[in-house]
Amino acid sequence: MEDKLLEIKHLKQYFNIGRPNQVKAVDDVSFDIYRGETLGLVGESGCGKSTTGRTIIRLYDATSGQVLFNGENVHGKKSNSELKKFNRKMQMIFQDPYASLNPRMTVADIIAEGIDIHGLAKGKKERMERVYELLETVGLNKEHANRYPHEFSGGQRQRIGIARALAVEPEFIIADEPISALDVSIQAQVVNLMKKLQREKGLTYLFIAHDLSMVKYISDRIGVMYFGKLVELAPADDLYKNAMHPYTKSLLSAIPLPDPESERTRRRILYDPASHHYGENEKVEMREIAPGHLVYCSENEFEQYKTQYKK
Amino acid sequence: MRILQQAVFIFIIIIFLAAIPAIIEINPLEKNITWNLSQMDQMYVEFIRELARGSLGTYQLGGQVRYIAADITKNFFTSFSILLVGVLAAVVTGLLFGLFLSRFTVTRIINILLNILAAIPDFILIIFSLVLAIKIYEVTGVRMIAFRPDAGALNTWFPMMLTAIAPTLYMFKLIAVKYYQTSGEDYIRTAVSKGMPANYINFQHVYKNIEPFIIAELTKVVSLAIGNLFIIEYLLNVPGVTKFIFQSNQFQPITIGLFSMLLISLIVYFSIRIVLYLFKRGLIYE
Repeated sequence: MEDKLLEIKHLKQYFNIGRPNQVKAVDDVSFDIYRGETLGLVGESGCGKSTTGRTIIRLYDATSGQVLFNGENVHGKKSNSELKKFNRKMQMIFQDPYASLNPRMTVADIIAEGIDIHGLAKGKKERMERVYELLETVGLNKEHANRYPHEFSGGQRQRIGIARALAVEPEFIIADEPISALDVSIQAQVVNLMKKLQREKGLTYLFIAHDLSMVKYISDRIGVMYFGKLVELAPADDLYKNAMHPYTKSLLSAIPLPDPESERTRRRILYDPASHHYGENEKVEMREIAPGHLVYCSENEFEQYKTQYKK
Repeated sequence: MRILQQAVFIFIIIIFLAAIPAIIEINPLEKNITWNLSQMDQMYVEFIRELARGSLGTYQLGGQVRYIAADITKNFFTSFSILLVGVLAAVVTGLLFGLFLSRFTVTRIINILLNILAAIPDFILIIFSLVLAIKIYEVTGVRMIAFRPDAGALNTWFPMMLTAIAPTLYMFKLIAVKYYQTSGEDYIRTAVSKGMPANYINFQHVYKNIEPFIIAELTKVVSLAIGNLFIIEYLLNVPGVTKFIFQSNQFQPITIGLFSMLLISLIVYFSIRIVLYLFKRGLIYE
């Protein structure tokens, strides 16, 4: 767990810079992702989770900050061959399985596109064999190769999306809410498939989602984002047991339980950003209250959280 | 069966429209319009009889009566070439500026200009272009247009350009909007995140998804071009098929003119479809 695959340092992604409608979608976010782990990123809609993922993979040019992948800055100036190498190692799975596959391409072409671009197959035969192998890896079969995306269900499409990502043998996959658009039974299938692939291929995931129960199930560590900032980062179990930041507590209190009795008595904790009462010159930053458990807080809050933390 | 129904319907509409100038009469004494419907059956019988004889009939040109068949070939190809070039220019320009070059800054300026032009009605653009051509001649002495039918390229290139204006603006707007829509799709983001070159994405992902809309709107583009061709041939004295339609109120030349125009639009439509097909086979499915 100590081998860092990805280091995100003071990443900022602002839109409409210098205009009245400037948006700080990602505001000074720092975290590391270790090789072979799954880091879950949660938060409400519009908090900057997806923007963080998209900035990491260079879909947006970062306003400032660094993204180090295997120690190399992703956002620095790169030659075409360096970029190609990077693009192969990092892949993304999108939320909407309906929109993420080109409707005018066959499944074989969708999956093989990465193989073609990176020259991973020597001939047509090898290309198709690789496609069949990938389809089988994700639980589909080779008869599906010549079909078009509209002929598949949501879960099958997401499997095709996963096969496409796997085609170039990546090390790191950003899964941007890959199960949000699927029904619950299919969600479990896709998540289990991702876990299986992680075990078999040693993949590292950044799993962006807002379904906290599913994130807990798949993630080794979880980061909580609020308004473009990372407010808490901790091992999955620790976060659920010892949530420190009031926003995390609020988020956890919103998880519905399949028990009518507890649902009737459940009390929602509402988060008010003004409740912190930060002073003007008070330094608010990520501080480690326990090994691996970081909270965005002031010095005063840090002391308070440390005493509250249950070992 | 449906195609046959449509063909019969189009035939009936054309012969009815062609008959209107002949059956409507203005009575100057009573200051009213009279419908002389009794002539209709005679005209239709005469028209079919002429066709059965293997003749297209005659038309009146000034004081002379001329055979339509003797004159129509040249006029047909003049109109055809103007329409084909106009529609082809519209599709090519629309694809270039609306899609393949749209990411360049210079193209964005051209796009703004085309958007402004698209807000002006096409007949006003035609008249302004004519005035501009005359002004250019006055100032520089360079002749851009000629109204003599036998002036060759001078009599055809300007009509071709004017015919292309409205369809180009329409095609460009359509492609630009579809490009904007398509480029926000997740499969485009996936392609970008995989580091695929912009041209590859435009050809393999964007064009493939825009093409059905281009084909669907092609009939509209051809009809826009035909609408302009009627105005342009008349204003610039181009010896095209519309000569038979505007020359007199005779049923025979108007019917032949309208059928010729229909044939021209069909040939142009299918020619563009072939061009798009070859473009796709050659550049997209390499």
